[in-house]
Amino acid sequence: MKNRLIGVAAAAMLALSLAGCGTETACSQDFYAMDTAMSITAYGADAQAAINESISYINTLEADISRTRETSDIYAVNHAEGETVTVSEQTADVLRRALELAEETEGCFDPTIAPLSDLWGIGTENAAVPAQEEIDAVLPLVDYTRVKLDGTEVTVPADMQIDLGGIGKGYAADHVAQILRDAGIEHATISLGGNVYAVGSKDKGLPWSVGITDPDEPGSWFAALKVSDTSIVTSGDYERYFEQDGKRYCHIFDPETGYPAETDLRSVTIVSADSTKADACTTALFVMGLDRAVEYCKAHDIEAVFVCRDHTVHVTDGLKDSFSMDSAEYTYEK
Amino acid sequence: MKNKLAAFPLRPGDAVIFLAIIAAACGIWLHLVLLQTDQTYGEIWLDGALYQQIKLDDSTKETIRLEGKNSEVTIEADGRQMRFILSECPDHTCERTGWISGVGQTAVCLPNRVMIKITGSTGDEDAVDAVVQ
Repeated sequence: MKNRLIGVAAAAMLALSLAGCGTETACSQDFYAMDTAMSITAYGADAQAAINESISYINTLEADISRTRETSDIYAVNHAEGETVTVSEQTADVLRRALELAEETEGCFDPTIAPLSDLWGIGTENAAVPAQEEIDAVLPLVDYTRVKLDGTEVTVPADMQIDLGGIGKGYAADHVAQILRDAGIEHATISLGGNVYAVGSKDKGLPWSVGITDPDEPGSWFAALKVSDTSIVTSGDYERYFEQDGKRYCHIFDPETGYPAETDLRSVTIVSADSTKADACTTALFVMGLDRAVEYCKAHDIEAVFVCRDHTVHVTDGLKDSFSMDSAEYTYEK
Repeated sequence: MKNKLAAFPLRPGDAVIFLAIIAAACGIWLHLVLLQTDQTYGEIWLDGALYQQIKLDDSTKETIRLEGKNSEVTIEADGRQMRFILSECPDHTCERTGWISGVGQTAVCLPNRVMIKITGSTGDEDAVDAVVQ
């Protein structure tokens, strides 16, 4: 009798567990930080605690590297009138990565671009094309090679400005992904202002499906990538821009010309486990234009998706198997 | 082998119990599957808190005005889609985002901290887990 009861109980547990398959609890949280909207969805018993830890981390990072907060390290550096400022280890690490990536991208990504973006005012009510003399006056202030970083001591010439916003979200995504992994989370998606980090794989070992924003209709995606355990970052001319005399001026600047980058590209998407690098490189490749960017990807082992003004889409070899088009408005150049 | 079976004898009544348990499990599973209809909802979130949820179907036609963090925002729900139509903020990025209709899609007015998003379940094989912007 006892054995029969055990058998029935085992059968009941098996049946109920089968009925409950695929219902692993997801915790999802939307929040605002680093001047953007963020969202983390994680699966597992400790998901909520891991998300809370991630948000705390992002807040401490922002407190260090914000350009506008008067108590931040970067604010202090930018207002030191050329004097040396000691910053936190964390700030120094983000700045070190920014300077390395500026070097790697031949200056196409430059963390000292701020005086130029301030002059153009894109994203503000005062956005307008400045006079050439004004651009010429500001251009010498955009030069990452003049930033000195020695341990945690930073020196920036007076009037120059450091803005780590170009890699801040990528840097945060790398660290949040690690916080989630350390908490034992095996499946999660992190979206920090449109920078996505797909942690692990989706349930049952399937890859995540990540849509790439349609530059013509930014509320939709035109294609998707199947990925696991990697970040995906996009930069495009549809994010922040203004129009003057029928011409669009986007928020991505060419440090050479002092003008918003104007190439044959509408957007650049990079897939890389290093989200910090992906963040800087999307900006840099957008500035380079398609031909130079494709060569750069080959030379530096970068996987990317390019959307061109003529509605053609170009995908590097390593992504071809995971890429799929969802829109007939674009032509996939295989 | 015979001894082991003897220690765990199955009687005709047991089959009824097993069948009942399996039927119950199938019932729970079927219930979960049936719950996964294609019904979608348009949600409006103000500064991280749910402000309003609108059931989206072919007859939906609604204009919502709300006071954001800095100024007024106007949102339109039309059929199974939703969009920002006016925000008195400097960048107007939210208006440019245009219509959203797929589950998981979002549009945000950052200066006003207003987010709209499409929620619900979908059997759409083209659905994505996240969108890179």
